[in-house]
Amino acid sequence: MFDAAYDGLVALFEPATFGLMIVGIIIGLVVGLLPGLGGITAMVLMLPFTFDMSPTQAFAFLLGMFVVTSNAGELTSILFGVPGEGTTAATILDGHPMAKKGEAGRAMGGSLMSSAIGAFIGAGVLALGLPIVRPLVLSFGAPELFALTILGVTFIASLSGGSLTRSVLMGGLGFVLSSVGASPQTGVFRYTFDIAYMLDGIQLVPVALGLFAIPEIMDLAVRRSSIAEVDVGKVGGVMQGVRDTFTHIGLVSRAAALSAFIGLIPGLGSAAAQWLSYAHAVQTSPRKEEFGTGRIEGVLAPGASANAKEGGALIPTIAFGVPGSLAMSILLGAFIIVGLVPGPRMLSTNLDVTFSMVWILVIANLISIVFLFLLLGQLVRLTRVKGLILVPIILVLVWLGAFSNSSNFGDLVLLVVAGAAGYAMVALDWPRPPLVLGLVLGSLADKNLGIAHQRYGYDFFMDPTVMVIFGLAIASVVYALIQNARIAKARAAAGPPQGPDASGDPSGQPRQGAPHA
Amino acid sequence: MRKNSDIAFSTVLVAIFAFILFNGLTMDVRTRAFPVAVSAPMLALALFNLGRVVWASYGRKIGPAPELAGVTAPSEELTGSERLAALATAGRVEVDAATTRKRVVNILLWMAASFVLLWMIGFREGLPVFVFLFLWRESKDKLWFAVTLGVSTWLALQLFFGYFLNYPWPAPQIALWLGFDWPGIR
Repeated sequence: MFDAAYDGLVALFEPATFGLMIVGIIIGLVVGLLPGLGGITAMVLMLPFTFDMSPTQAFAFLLGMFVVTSNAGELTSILFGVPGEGTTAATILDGHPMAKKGEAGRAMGGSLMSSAIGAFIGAGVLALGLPIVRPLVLSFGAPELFALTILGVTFIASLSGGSLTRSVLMGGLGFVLSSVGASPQTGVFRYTFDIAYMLDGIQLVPVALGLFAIPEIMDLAVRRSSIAEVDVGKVGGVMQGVRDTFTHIGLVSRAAALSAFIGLIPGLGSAAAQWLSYAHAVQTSPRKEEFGTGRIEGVLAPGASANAKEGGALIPTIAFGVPGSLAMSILLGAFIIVGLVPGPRMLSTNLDVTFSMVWILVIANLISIVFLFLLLGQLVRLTRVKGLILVPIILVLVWLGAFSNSSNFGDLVLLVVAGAAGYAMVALDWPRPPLVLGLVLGSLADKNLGIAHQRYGYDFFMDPTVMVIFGLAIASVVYALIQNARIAKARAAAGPPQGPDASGDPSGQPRQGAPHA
Repeated sequence: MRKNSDIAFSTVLVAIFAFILFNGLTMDVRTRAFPVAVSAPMLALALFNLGRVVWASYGRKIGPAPELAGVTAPSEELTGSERLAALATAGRVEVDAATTRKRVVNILLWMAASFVLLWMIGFREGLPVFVFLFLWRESKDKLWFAVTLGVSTWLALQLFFGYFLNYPWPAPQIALWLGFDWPGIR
């Protein structure tokens, strides 16, 4: 095993392989910084170039490119409030408010450092998990996956920021929107209004861009100030962000481990991993009411998740040929192109190639983080650029990012609709994260519920694993409710509310800005 | 007017859940199971929320909404889109309501213009033109700066997105209407 690990490392440092990894990293950084254009798009576009490459070269190029897009995407989310990747939207919630407060450097430093630690944990999980994880992965069927999605849904309670009714309604809206398109059970089209674009369902990328980017663009255009409303100084607290990572090393490690586990389970998806990590940070913080206003923990947890999940997702891809995410299914294409067959042989005769992937996860991340740390000074300055100069540039990137989703003008229409909804939600103080989480998890719940019911009837609810996961879900809700009650009590003790809020909250307490921001 | 906006938004939610539920009831059991199972309790919750909002708005006297702290105009004097727009920027840079309304309308018109441009003459040509026009007319930047950024946008679209990423440019609508091939469109 150690010989294979050494061989994998040596193979990675061969000049051609290392050069290809650097090219992949540079492409990944550029693509990651552009809103909406994600690592998956880049991998699809670059896949044909791998035909003449050796297996290690192909993975160094593709995997190196893919893992760094998350790092760069986090920075776009922090700086502009625009998701650099469909899967980095959670970072906006606290990262962008930090940028507005002049703490972009701190947020980016924390994001990059936590991302590096997450990558190490993900790579560690991959290296150690390969031989022992087979029974776990194979034991997870549709009932367990359905139970896990329900567990994920209960995190909506943590994202409520005090207004549980609104959060549940937004989560429910995400769920029903996810049911648009073909039914995974029968193939019958639902709620499509005979519009061809709707047959594929409501797409995550245009919705995330619309909900988060359009309100930011309008905000910039109205305020006409720079993104940061205070002077950011030279680079503005990058090292503070790095120190924050180690101050909250427990949270970073837990978020990374949680994401590696979510990545490990085929079908739960990358976006879910980051949202659930963010929700975990909110849930475990004693100051959960401050999330959404610029808490560093709200940046560290999604940052740690960014690359840790890929380590987990690689395990079923390599060991069983079961892709743990959409990106992994594209990587599976690369396996076939370079003549490798995923499965037990990847753990025996091709173990060096497997270990080269572990090294790629670690080394590509280290290189990209060094690159990005060198660029931070310039990137932070963007937050002091006049808002009206950024507006057309961000809008161009948002149009391009949305259209690249499926090369259909329907993406742009969906972007506009989601943008209008996002603006109204910001104005009326409705939370946006539960809607995205509902959209991400809804289709998974729909599919797995159908399969589980068809296969086991309602008996699957009595499965011990399912019952344990449901137990965790109930505990998660109860914990969130207790936390909410504590916050309400603390507020009541702090002073009388100024007046009943217009949401109709009978308590009359002003809602906390928190994760809705 | 905040209360009316809140009521309108809550009503839209009720309408969406009701549509999903009642339309779902016309489908076969396996197709409708998930959307109906979700939308039925959500419809009840949305109705409850609507009732609460209406009650809070009309059932008793309410004070000014706390979110309006950063808006200069008294909240009672704001109406419609003024209030909605002002809420979005409340608590930060202070912008008076009339200016806010004007700027919101402006940016919406610019967004619409950018969409029309990219739809009519394509992404590669329409978006650089939009960047140039926005910087020159709306941002009031110097002409040389607007031209430079417009040209840079065009170069970035041509080289990075077009040549390198092989971005799937759609044919401009004007080319489809006139029936001729547009350079670079497959």
